[in-house]
Amino acid sequence: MLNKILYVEDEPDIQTVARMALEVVGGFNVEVCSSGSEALEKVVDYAPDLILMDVMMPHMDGPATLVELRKLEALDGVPVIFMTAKVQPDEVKEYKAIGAVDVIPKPFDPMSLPETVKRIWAEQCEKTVC
Amino acid sequence: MPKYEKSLIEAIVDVGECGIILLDESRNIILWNSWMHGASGISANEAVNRPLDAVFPSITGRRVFSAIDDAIRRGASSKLSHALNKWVFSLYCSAGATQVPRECMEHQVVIKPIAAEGGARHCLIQVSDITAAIKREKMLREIAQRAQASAKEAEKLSRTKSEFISVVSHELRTPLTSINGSLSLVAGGVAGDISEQGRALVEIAMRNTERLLRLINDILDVAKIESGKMNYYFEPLKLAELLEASAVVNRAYADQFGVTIEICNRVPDVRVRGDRERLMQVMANLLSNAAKFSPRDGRVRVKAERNGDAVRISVSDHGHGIPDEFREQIFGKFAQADSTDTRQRGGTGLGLNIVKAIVQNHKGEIGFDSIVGKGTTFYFDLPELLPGLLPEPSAASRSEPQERADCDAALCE
Amino acid sequence: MLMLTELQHDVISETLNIGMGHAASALNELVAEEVGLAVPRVSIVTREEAVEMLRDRASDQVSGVSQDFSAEFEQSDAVNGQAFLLFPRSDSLRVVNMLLGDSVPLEALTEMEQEALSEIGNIIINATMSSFSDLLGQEINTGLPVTQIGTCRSILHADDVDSDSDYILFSHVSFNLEQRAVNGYVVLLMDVQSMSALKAGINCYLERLNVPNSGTY
Repeated sequence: MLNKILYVEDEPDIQTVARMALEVVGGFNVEVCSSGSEALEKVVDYAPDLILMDVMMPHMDGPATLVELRKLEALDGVPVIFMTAKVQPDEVKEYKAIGAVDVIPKPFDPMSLPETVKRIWAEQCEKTVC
Repeated sequence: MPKYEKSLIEAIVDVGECGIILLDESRNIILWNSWMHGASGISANEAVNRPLDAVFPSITGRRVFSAIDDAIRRGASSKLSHALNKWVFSLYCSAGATQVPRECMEHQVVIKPIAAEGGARHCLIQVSDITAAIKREKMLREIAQRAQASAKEAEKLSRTKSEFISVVSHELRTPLTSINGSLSLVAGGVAGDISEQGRALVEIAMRNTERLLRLINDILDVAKIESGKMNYYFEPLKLAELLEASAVVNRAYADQFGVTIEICNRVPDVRVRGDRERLMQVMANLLSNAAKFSPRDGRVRVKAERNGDAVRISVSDHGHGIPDEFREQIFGKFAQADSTDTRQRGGTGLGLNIVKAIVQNHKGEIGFDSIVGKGTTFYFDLPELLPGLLPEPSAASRSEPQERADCDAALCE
Repeated sequence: MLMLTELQHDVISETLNIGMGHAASALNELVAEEVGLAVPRVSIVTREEAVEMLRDRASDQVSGVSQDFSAEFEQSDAVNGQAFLLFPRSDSLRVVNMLLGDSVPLEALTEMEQEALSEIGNIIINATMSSFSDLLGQEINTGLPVTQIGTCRSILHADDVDSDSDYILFSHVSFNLEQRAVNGYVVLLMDVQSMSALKAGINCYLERLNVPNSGTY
């Protein structure tokens, strides 16, 4: 059952919008991080079921954070989804090559965001039998 | 060959368009032609019987000196290039005695041994004026330098441009993501119930942020096209699936105008090589235009058929057509026949400009037929991807478009 | 097949290196940078083999300079031949740019740069010939340098003559300037009689030095 989502995004307004969508519309438990390094600090204690992450962030971007996250054994099997405006086919290919399970393009519709996340999570569960 | 008088030989030598000096085995000048007189200001009378290094003291110890030595002692010939031997002799361009100071003459020197009587060896020096050639080359080099500099500048500019496009695209979309997201949550009742007027206003705001987003996307596409930064990802595509998908995606938009989209595919098995996203963009532009300009409850027909070696895809509406005076600029930027036409709200005026660039990048051509008051058909041709270049499609995927073609057959005129 | 004994081979290498030493000091007077020239290897080959060697080591398109040379020997036939200094087409540009220190290299040699390359070849070929002339105690005359641009075959006239009728003395020249090196090729083309005369001359030299010539060629 999908419950805990770690959400990494540096833009405060987008944080608010997405958090409200995930909490109020989707009914998930959401932990918000404003940077890749904050996410790396909190992720093990929080133990999320799924991670949603922005790509373009200062200092440590989404892909760099993902590479670090993949080194943590506690996170084995936790799917990571990127949220980004950079969705050229070769960019998407690159995200998937480093281990992202899917990409949600920005701007996103917050009303349908929880459904999209649930669908990706379900697909992922089918693949890995969780 | 008869033996000529010395004076005759001197006369012949004087006709030449170059300087001629003959030295004996001790480097004494035996012959000095009138060209040398003109270029050096030293007459034959002044030069003959003196050693060459007495006439031109600066040659001592230089390459020309050892080359003369090599010719006299060893019988070796030498050529002194301008690049490595600047101004071997003190020579000036003949520009009339009035011009002071005279321009230095750039020259090139050839040194050749000549067998003389009694086993001795003389040395022939030939000097040519290459001032004009040097100037020409300097000019060419300057042109090349400028071209190189401007190529560098252009490359820098192009890099800046694509960085700009990338930054603008991120910076403009970020606030729009927040605005659109907030409005969508408010409209969805997440922030509590809203009044009817409130909802109407939020919907206006949402519609216009969507329009702004479309405009940003189109402007960025035009910027990419114009700076050659538009990327394409070509792959084999089933035309039938592409057309079906484009109809599905644009159905909701067409519904707003009460317009239905019909497909008539006469070439259900054809494949093309294309960028799926970009071709969907082409279809979205043509379909939304057609829907916008159709009368209420009208029909928009998508047709695919063979046209020579290519496949022609056309989108027809029964709208009021394109006025003659507007036809030439239809593929231009911010092109709208009548900006006061309320039916055109939501268009960016950039769509057809982008569509044309995408079609051309698919080695295709785009065109249209329009009759005012009857309707418009936009069409584009794509080269067909021949079977055999591709793996066999599976039986299931092959039968599907076939059925669709059958059931749509009645729609084809 | 005409071959060189070890000793003859050494004499030719040494002679070429002495020539390169003179050429280098002549070049040093013309250009600001210190130029080093060396001849690491020498071999005698047929025209066909020379074309192959050039093609392998350089490229099919070469450019450079040629000069005719001739010498009258008292005891044997006259020596006639053609001397070349050749570079792979792209390296000829580098050599000129290295020596002229030009900051704006163009895509091809300009007329003036071509003349400069021609002079560099002229200096090297004249120095080589004068070194041979000292070795043989015999004057060798050289003609004016002629610019050569084309394929290895066309420059070495490989299609014009029976390739077995003459020999080629083939050697590398490495140009060293400011820690950069470019390889060129000195090619001396001569007929069978000339090559025999050259060897006879070398043997005379060795006899004068009182070194027994072990070879029977």
